[in-house]
Parts: sequence; C-alpha cells; structure tokens
Amino acid sequence: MDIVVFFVASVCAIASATAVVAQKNPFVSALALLGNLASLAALMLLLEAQFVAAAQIIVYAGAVMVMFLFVIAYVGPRGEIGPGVRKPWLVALSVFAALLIAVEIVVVVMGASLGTVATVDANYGSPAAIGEALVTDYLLAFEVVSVILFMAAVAGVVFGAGGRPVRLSDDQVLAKEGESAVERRREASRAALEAARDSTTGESAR
Amino acid sequence: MIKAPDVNWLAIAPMMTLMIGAFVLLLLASFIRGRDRGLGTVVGIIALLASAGFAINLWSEPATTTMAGALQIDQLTQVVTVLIAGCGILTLLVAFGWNRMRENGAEFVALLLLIAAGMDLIAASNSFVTLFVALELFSLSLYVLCAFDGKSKASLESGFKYLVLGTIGSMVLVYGAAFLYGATGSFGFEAINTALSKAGSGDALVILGTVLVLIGLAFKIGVMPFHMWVADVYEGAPTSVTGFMSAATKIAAFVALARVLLDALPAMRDTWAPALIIIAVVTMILGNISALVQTNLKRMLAYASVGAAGFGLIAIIVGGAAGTRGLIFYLVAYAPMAIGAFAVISLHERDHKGIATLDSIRGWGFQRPVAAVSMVVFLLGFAGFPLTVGFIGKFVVLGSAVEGNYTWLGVVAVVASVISLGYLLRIMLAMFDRGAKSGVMMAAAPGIGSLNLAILLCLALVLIGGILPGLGLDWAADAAKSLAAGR
Repeated sequence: MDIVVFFVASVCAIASATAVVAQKNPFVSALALLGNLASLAALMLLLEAQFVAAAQIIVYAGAVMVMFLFVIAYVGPRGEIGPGVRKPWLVALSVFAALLIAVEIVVVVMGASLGTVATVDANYGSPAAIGEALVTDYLLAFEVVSVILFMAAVAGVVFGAGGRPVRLSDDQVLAKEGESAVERRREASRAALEAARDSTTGESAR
Repeated sequence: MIKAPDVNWLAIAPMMTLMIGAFVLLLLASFIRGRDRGLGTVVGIIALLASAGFAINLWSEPATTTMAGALQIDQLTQVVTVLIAGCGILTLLVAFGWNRMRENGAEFVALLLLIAAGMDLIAASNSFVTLFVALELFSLSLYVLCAFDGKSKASLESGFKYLVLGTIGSMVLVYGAAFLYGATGSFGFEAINTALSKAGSGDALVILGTVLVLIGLAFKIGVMPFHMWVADVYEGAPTSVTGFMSAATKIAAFVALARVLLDALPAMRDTWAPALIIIAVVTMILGNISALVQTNLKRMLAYASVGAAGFGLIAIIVGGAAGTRGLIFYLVAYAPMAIGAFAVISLHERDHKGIATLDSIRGWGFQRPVAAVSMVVFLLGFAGFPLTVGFIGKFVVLGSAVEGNYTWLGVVAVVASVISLGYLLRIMLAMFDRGAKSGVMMAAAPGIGSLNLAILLCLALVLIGGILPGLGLDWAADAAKSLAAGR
C-alpha cells in the first residue's frame, strides 16, 4: 500500500513540477504548483510527518496559493512571460545537464547505505514533538526565520509603498534647487493625479 | 516540562545589537518623519559600532558554543563581526548622499543592519541549519538592496537576477546538507566530522553531499563556473551596495566555506581539494581575462573581484595554520580596497550623472585629484603592489602556498596578477589622460562630504595596513586558531 501511494505521489509531484515551469499561462502554472504541494504533502504523510503535511496543505496550498492566484488574477495577461532568448541548442544543453545530474543523484541514492529503515516512536512528527524541537535544538534557526519574515515585510513596504514623502516645504525646495524645481514638483503631482483618474475611469469602462 | 537551551547573551550580543538596531530604527522612523537619511545613518552607525565593541570585548574570552550548539563564538566570529561592522559604516557613508536615502533611508539602513547580523551569524554557524538560515537572512536582504533603486530598470534586473540565481545556489546547498545528514545523521559540523572520520570518506552519499555543498557556497562566493551572476548584479546594483557586496559578502561566504570544508569535512579533503584547485586556477585566469575586455568600470571591477575570489581559494586549498591565517588576512585586506574603489566610482557617477565607463573617466583625475589618486592606490592594491595592504595580503597567501607545497598555484596567481595589471592600468591611465577634453562637471551633489570621508578612510586603512601590517597579522593568526585546521 505504502509503495503504491509513494509512486503515485512521486509521479504526480514530478509531473506537476514540470508543468509549473513548462506552462506559459501563469494561472495554469499556479494550479500545477497546487498539485505539486499536495503530492509533496502525501509524501510527507508516508514519512510519518503528519503535522508538516497538514501545515503544508493549510499554509501553502491554502493561504499562499490563494495569494498567488489573487496576484495573477490582478496582474492578468500582462503577467505572461515573453518569448525571451530561446536558443534550441541552449535548451537541449540545459535539459541534458539536468538529466545528467538527475542520473548521478539516482545512482548515488540507489547505491547508498540508506537500506536500513529507522524506527521512530509514536510521538514522532506530532505537533508537540515539532514544537519542542523548535524551542530547544533549533531555537536559533526558529528565531532567525522570524527575523527573515520581518525583513520580507520591510522589503514589501519598500517595493509596494515606495518612498515616504520627504517633508520639504515649497520654500525649502525653492531655496535648495531654485524655482524650476517647485514648478516641476507641482507638474509631477498634477500628472500623477491625472493618471490615477484616467486609470480608474478606464477600469470602470472595462 | 521542556527545558529551553542556555543562551549566552553576552556572546550573541554583537548580532542582537544589529537586529535591535534595525527594529528600533524602523520604529523611530515612523514617529520622526521626513528625517530618514540622518536618522538612519546615525542609528546605523551606532548599532554597527556597538556590535564591533561587543565583539572586541569578547576577543579574549575562550571559544564557546551557545543556543544548543547552533553557534560557535570564537575569535574568527569576532574578527568577522568587526570587519562587517567596518564595511557597514563605510557603506553608510558612501550611500549618504544618494537620493533613495531621503525617501527610504530607514528601510535601507535597517536591511543593511539585518544583512550584517546575518553575516555575523554565518561566521558563528556551527551547523548546516544555522548556516542556511543565516545565509538566507543576508541573501534575501541583499536581493532587496540590489533592487532598491526601484526607478532604475538595471537595479530591478540586478535584484531579480540575484534572487533567481542566488536561490538556486541556496537550494543546491540545502540538498547537499540533506545528503550529509542522511549519511551522518547530524547537521552539526563537529558531529559530521566525527562521523566521517570514523566511517571513512568512501560513501557515495557523502561525496555527493560534499560536492553539492561546495557548489552552493561557490555560487555565493562567485567563482567560476558559478560566477555568471556577478557581473550583471554588480553592474545594476546601486554602487554603494555593490561595494558592500564585493567586500562583505565575500568575507561571509569565504568564512562559511572555511568552516564547512576545514571544520566539518576535513575527512573529504580528497574530494574537495582537487575540485577547488581547478576552480581556483580557472577563476583567477579567466576572471582577469574577462575583466580585460570590459569598458564599464563596475563590470570590470566585478570580474576583478571574481579573480580575487579565485585567489582566496588558494588559502583554503593550502589549509593548515598558514593557509587559514592567510585567508583571514586576505579578507581583511580586500575589504577596504573594494569598498574604496566602488566609492570612487560612486563619486564619479554623481559628478557625471551617469554610469562610469573608461570613456567617461577620461581626464576626470584632474578634476578630483584626491579621489583619483586614492583610486590608483586601491587598484595597485588589487594588483598587489608594495606599500598597500593588498601586497601583504597576497604575500601571506602566496607564502602559505609555497609552504604547503602548492608553489605552482602561487605561480598561476602571480600570472593572474600580471594579467590584472592590463585593465587596472587602463583605468589609471584613463583618469589622468591629458589629451582628453575635460568633461563638464555638474554642480556638486549634496552628501559628497561623507563620500569623500569614506574614500579617505579606505585609503588610510589600505596604506596603514600596507606599511604596518603586524597587528592585523597577529589578529589573523589568533583568529585562525578558531578553525581546527589552524591549530
């Protein structure tokens, strides 16, 4: 039974991963990624990691993928990847190199000393065991990952919200850069307003 | 009841200071509006100085591990912490006049502090788990800094390319660590070393793991054939960030490589040493030859830094007390030259409101003589001329190569240095080209003062290190003892 589930999940994982990169339509790619995450969750279940499998489904397949789909739906067809530089020999060469590495890894893993099956206690993979590992052995990694998430939020603000307005009154700009700068600033804000109005009317017309 | 691991707060104070600095800065920035640039620079410099102070304070303490063995706090960690803090302060001075510092200065400095914390963590890492999360902390923040100039297409492209290629490097590293875990049952460097010295080095799983880890770290260092991202990323990134990358990223990645290869995988020397020798030779020669054909100065120096990374690999190949000391001193020596050279390019870009090429700098040396002469010193340092710290750095590494019976590698390195003179001299000659019509100099941009200060500080470090290297060499020798190979 295990072996059947393993092969079905593995084939699904590889096929969906290939689809993620091969599909041109980002929407289909995102759905293929969903399939990939689900089949990886099945593989984790086979490894007695029930909690990780459940978290994978809830967090990635649920929350993160919904965000992805929102973004794709919002950006729309503009998000499609252009033709780019597609030299056939380059594609052939990279596929060949990738296959070579894959064969190498398969050969090593088949011939490796991984024959013995480890026995784990009943508690293994439970939320309690994972929680304990996070606050004992991997405490530092756990804390650093939270700093990484914080950093990602800062990065999102930088790219999403743009710069904070620099508080300079017109007088200060005048003193610093001369009259034309004030004029330019007013011009720029007027243009931005106009553009915003155009885009909203365009939106409703569509 | 779960017993939380002991935390040696004093030992992790340097990293904590940087992270707290980043949080405090962002909090302050939301209350004190419109003063991003000054606030960011002041808080950033205070945090970096404080972290360096804590590190110096820890210098004479015995080496220790903390946080359940995730971190090893020893003199190598302290040297790297001080170095990264220095690189950060110089970078803040270079970036001060940049217009993005007015709009998003707080975020820029906060990310820089988090990068510094990540690099310190890398230097202190004692297991692949710590190494990976620390690597991601600094890499992800660095991708953002590369793309920080959101209005410039080149900057966005640089950040995106770095993100995609850097992530591949990280994935390969994790894959390799997973194989090593499968073979030895541990992520800890010491435990892996113990398991391997018992089991021998013949297991195919271990060999594959070693190779993948080596590839992942080679990506981060930017040595051939994993250097393809370097030129594009260095070119597109804001110049202050480029300088920081070429100095600090190299330090962090090289120390990570030294910890992994010399502390965790010394038993696999027969696997990684031949690979590193080939990589080092190809990188030194081809990196410098690629630099010869560039006309964009940032691309040229990017390839020069690829070549320099190949040179650093010699020290790891040699290993032992001499090799590790050479590596650490070379990293110390390289940092001020790299940051200084990119600071001069930054000054030129602000003068001419455009990118720096061999054509645009023609005759520029007469307009800014101090900066141009400093540039000459930095470039001579890259080539390894006497009286610069670059000479001592190269001398120590070459000396260790001769001592370790790798004299021929040293000869290759000297040949590569001669090739590098080809483009370094072209930059110097172009700056002082009398025949060129002196380009129209724009009105001096604000914030030039701190940029000049950064250039002069780098110049002083390069010259002092070149004339009185004794203290630095002693530190490097002490720090080398932190690695098993250096004892």
